Formats: sequence, C-alpha cells, structure tokens
Amino acid sequence: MTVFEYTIKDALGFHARPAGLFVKEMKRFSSEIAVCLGEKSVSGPRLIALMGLGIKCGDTIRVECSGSDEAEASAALKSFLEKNL
Amino acid sequence: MNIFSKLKGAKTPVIIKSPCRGSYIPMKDIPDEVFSQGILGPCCAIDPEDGRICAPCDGKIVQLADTLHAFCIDCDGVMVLVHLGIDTVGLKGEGFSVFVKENDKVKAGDAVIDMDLGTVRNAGMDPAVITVIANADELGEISFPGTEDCLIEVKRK
Repeated sequence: MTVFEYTIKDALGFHARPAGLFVKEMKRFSSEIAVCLGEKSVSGPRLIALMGLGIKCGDTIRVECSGSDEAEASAALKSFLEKNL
Repeated sequence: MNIFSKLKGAKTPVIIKSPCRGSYIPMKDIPDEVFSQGILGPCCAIDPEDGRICAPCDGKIVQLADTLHAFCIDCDGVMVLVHLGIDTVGLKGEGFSVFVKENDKVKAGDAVIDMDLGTVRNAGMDPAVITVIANADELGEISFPGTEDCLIEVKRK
C-alpha cells in the first residue's frame, strides 16, 4: 500500500467541483483507493460519500492506494491535490 | 436497503422531478464543464423562475453543503445531487435559506432551500439549478424527459 497525507489549502474545502475531478482521476486507476479524514474513511470513487467526509480547509487527509498501479495512482492524486486543493 | 425495497424497486424506474420552476437546459449547454462534461455525473439544469428549490424525489437528505448551495438526496439508492447555481460555493451561504437538516426525510415537492436569485445574479453568478445523478455507475439507463413532473428517469441495473 502507498500512503500519503495532504493538508487542504483551498478556502472552500473539498467542494463539488474538485471532488468531481478527483473522482474522475481516481477512476483512471485499478488500485483500491481510500480517502481518510480522522476516523472516517471512504473507499472507491464515490462522489457523495467523499463530499460527505466534510473535508475543510486546513484538514489533513490521508490517501491510501493499494493495487498494481498504486505508485502511479498515489503520485497522480497527490499532484492533483497540490494543483487543485 | 432491505430485500423488499430491492424487489419493489427493481422494475420501476425512479422519476426525478424538477426541483424548481423554470426552463430546461440540457447537460451539454450548462456553462460549466464540470457539469456539461458529466464529471459529477449525468445531469441537466433549470434556469429558475423563482428561488424556491424543492426535493425532486422522496428520500433522505444525506448531505447539505455548509454553504447551503447544494444538497444530496438518497432516493432508494439513487443519489441525486441538486446544485444551486454555478460557482455559488463562493457566496459562503449568503442568499440561501434552508428548511431541512441532514438526515431529514422529505417528500418530492417539499421546500428544501430558498435561493435569492438577486443575490446570486448581483454577484455575477448564474443561478442555474443543476440536478445530477451522482452514482450513475451503479444504475441502469438514465434519460432526460426534461419536464417539471419528470425531469430525469432512472432505471435500475
């Protein structure tokens, strides 16, 4: 499993637009991807569940990728977050 | 979801009504690519005549944005996201008044949010009300009759 953490910098948090794009990015990979905030965790490209985590500016999320393309998935999602959130 | 509702829901399409009065805008014409390219899911919009936004189906409010510009209803496994206006997340709740809270059960036509169209337009934003099927991957065919009583028809797999 490849894991990284990211602290949200966008003042508006993880709202619909970046969430939709993030889910689209997740779907490019076959690895199982989980997004965790504190005790809560969402697996897979599930838009509403991800938005339901209530991720806000300043929150640190943990992204866990496991599968054959986990390194690529992890790098792509980290880069997406740095550019968009 | 229990077995009975699964059986009951298997054959009947889910009808999503229009969340407000106004004119129909097909997905491809929504002036924001996150919607027009279906990035959030298959969707369509209504150019609202007034700002009373209602539940488009019976279900449970599973999410209400802190900024009150979007809500999601779980209609027996169909996740319907209603997004009020384009880029309105930036208003941070100004111009929106809400009548429900998360986990409330609602009936189609119940008032959910009032959006002040003047506030949105004065901020230079488009008040188009966008209805998105957010879990289309888990569902069958989705069509857009586009009328007030049947905005979107969702079949199950």
